[in-house]
Amino acid sequence: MNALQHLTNNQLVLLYYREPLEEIGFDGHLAGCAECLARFERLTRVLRVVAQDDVPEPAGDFEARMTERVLAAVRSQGRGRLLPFPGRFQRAARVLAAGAALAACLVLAFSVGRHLGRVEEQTLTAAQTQERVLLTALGEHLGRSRVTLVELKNREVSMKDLKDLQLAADNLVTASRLFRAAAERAGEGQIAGVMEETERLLLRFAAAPDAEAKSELDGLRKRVDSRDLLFRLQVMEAQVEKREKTFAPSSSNRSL
Amino acid sequence: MSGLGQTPPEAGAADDEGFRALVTSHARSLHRLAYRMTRNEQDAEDVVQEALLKAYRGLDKFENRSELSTWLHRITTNCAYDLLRKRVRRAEDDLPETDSEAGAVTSGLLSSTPGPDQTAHAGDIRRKVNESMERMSATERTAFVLRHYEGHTLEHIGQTLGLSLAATKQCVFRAVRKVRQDLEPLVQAS
Repeated sequence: MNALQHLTNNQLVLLYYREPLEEIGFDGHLAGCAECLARFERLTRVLRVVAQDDVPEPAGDFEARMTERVLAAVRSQGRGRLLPFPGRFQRAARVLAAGAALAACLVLAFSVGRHLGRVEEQTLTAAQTQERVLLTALGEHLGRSRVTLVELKNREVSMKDLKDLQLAADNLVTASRLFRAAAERAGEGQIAGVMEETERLLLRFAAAPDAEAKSELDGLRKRVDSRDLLFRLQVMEAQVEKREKTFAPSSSNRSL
Repeated sequence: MSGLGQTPPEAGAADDEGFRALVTSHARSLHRLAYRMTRNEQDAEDVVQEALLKAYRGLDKFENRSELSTWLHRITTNCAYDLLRKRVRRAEDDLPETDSEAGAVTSGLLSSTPGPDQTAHAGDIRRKVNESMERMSATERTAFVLRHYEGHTLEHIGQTLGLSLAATKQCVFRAVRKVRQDLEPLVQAS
């Protein structure tokens, strides 16, 4: 553009919002054009005033009201809780009791599943069965992780309890690593990512020396909230559960 | 004490806990967005409630690649946008056919039922901003709120509203023009 051409109002708006201008040649125009600069300053004053427009804060019980209303709506429409808790917990307890045996099965099953996914169609049924078992186990593990985090987050603890909590957290990390490795091999990056984040939080607390365990537990509680970890685990559970119900292999090289 | 997991919380508590934490973390920022779009406290609450319900029901649609707050804000934007469009449609239905010119349709109708805050505590700025917002179409208002208050890029806004970049720009330009018409005299006077 030449010096005689001024910026349009729309171009000034784009400049205000730091959006790229389509036209080239405007660099430095404002600094060298008193007229455009004055127009830009007028626009800026107005838009800054608009930005100051306050929003009334909702009442103090806003979050509680929203939570209760939504949960009531969910329940009244017959869906109940998204993931029935007691059954999950009992199944999760059984899964964890299997311990190392389960881990070995998982590794084997994923390997078999991936292999079978690539071979002829008549063997897919076996792969699907393996896959379903794995989905169930993974869903249960996610459920147990969430329950554990809820307890870590809410339970009143004495110093004596901390050791037990640390041990439990450490056990969960060990189990989680196995599931995560399996999920990663299956190309389930999202699930593996949430599991890894959970592990990191738990590990920091589990590995803390006695003198720091309480403060690490407090830090874990804050991070669980700030990262929406409980809800994200719930999301993963829901996704796994959905696929478990409507089971169908998505592609030949994805075994989870 | 017993080990973790040996004394499970009351049935349902664990499932609700994540949702409670989510609402505690995000409900107020969602309310700010909803209020800026609807300009009405009751509508804003309804929008937030609807958005949270959709989030709860749509857990399996969330992609962990994106931030949870981004996902929630997008749902809230869509809920508020739907509400604004319904208001306009209701307003159009109520108008005689001769009044169906677009500018006339949206003028004064987007916020058909002003909340108590708007009548009791409205300052000059808020009143003027309300007037400007009322003169905007649902799309203009949404684009303006997302750009001006939420700081989204025009490209992102276009994706949210299903508009091309050029159309999104025009929406924001029109919205800013209306804001300037209403607020410039006030700003100059001050």
